Amino acid sequence: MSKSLKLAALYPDHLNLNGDVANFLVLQKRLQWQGHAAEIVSLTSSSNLSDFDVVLAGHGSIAAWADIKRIDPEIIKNVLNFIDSGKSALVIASAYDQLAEEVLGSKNRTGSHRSEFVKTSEGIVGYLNTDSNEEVLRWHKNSLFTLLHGPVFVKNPELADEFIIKSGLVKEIQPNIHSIEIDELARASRKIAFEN
Amino acid sequence: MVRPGGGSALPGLVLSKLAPKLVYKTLGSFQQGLVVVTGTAGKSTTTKMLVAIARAHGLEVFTNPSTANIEQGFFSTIIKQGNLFGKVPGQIAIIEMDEGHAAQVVANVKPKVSVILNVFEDQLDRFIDPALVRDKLLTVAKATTGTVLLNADDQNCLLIAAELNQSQTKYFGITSEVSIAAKSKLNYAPTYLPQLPAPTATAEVVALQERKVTVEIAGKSVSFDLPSRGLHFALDAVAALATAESILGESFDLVKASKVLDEIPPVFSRGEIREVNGEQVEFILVQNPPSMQLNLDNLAPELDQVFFAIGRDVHDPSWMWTVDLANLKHVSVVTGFNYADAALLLRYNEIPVEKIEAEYFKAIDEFFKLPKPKNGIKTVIYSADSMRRLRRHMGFTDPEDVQRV
Repeated sequence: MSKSLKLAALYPDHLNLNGDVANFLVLQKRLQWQGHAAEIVSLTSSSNLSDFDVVLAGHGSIAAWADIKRIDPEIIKNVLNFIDSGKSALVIASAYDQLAEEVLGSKNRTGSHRSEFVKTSEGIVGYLNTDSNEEVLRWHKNSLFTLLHGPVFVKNPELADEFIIKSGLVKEIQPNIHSIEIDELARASRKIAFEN
Repeated sequence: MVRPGGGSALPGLVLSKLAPKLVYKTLGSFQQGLVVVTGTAGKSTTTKMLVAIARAHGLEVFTNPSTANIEQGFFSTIIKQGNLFGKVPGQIAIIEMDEGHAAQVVANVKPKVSVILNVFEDQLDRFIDPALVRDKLLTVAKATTGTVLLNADDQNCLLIAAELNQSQTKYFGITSEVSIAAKSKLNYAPTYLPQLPAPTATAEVVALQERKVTVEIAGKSVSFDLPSRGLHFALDAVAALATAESILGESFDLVKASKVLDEIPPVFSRGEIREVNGEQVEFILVQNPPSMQLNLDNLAPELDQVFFAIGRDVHDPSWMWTVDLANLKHVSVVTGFNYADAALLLRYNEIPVEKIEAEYFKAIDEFFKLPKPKNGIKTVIYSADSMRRLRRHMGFTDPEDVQRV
């Protein structure tokens, strides 16, 4: 193992409503398969994000976000600073909305709610459960913003690998025996999503 | 016309188009009114217990099978049990209602009594946010003309209670000592608000050891065996007893009620054990994060043979990733419509899986051909769609055909 990486999940008790933190399990395993150890750390403060290689801000309920903003009023600013520093964050669903609201200064909402599986033009499949009008998937610097809730990397391991490369954690993904079956199952999962 | 094996909403859909108001007319026609059991988890078991207690006290009860808890299901039940004009026999209706549909039903027919069991983080692809589920349950509570029975340990229920006339509320619960000592936890949806003080429960679980539970109600104490193990079944039992006491008033006989609960079989696939090919098999339904978590927490230890099937009913399998799988040590076959997501869940969590089988009926046949396990009994963990398909495939078509072991 050449590198030991630290992955910080922000407020996982609050921001894991649809299993968003599982994205870190995918990253951890895929990094291991490339020969790098990765530690997942649960954070209940955003004050020292620079200590970490990657940050995950997942999806939370209305009440969860109200609570986080009460106990950690600087969270949005701290995550934006982390992203601006060039490090990689994975920002999901309501966390995406929160950051977009801060950056754009207004709520980008359609007024109508969409709850469905979608496939992006890049072939990424995930569940959309939002009234947000943001792009479903957007790269900003080295960070990934997505409205697709839950474990988006489970269904889309190619996206996880792209994230690993953009984050600079690994220069290129080496083929490995571990991911063969997993990637085959992920292909089946993406197909099944539109058969129901 | 009603499909065997559990599915029962389709004929109701037809009738609901022909006579849309019939269900409300029927539900509103009972001399002793309508009792609604709702909330995220435990509706089927609580309803079955409550109905059995009421019948043991001589009440003629109209009720719905557990798989018919949405509007079309009520129509299907009326088709099965009623005459041409939707008139069904019974003095009282005790109905399990899906939390999403209950608000719509009570806009048309007001319950006399309602039971609000809990709010968990569940079906968020459908309900979006737990606060919205709470709002729907509040609508049911507000529409209730008589008593509203609420879970004293769930802060969501206390927020609902705060909006009601306090004279119409009653509470059931589990002592903190019992909750802390239990193998599994009831993780209600957090409100992230300052904790409201727990009200005095009129009925409370005061001891639980495996299936043996002790409940205190109206100053009296009684012990009996639950149909299956687990804290959630104890909650269902105390909710049923509290509601029965409220409905029956002075004629409520606690000893008689506890004897009923001592003998009642589980609702099918809620910890049901039945004989298949000469050996005992446990059937466990997992429908949502709390039911999967509670059932996995209560799995018998060292199981050699586990069948794990996630079917078409799990529209978005994301929620499975919120469940702690630490107690699931090994899976023999993973299958179902969502076999790929289920297999990914197990693989990433490094749970040994012997076989991933996309063809469901082949998976069933192969699992039941396995020799009798050395440790434990064959255990089937499945979602609702997989349950229905398996039951039809195996010929277990009568929902009442459930034995107590």
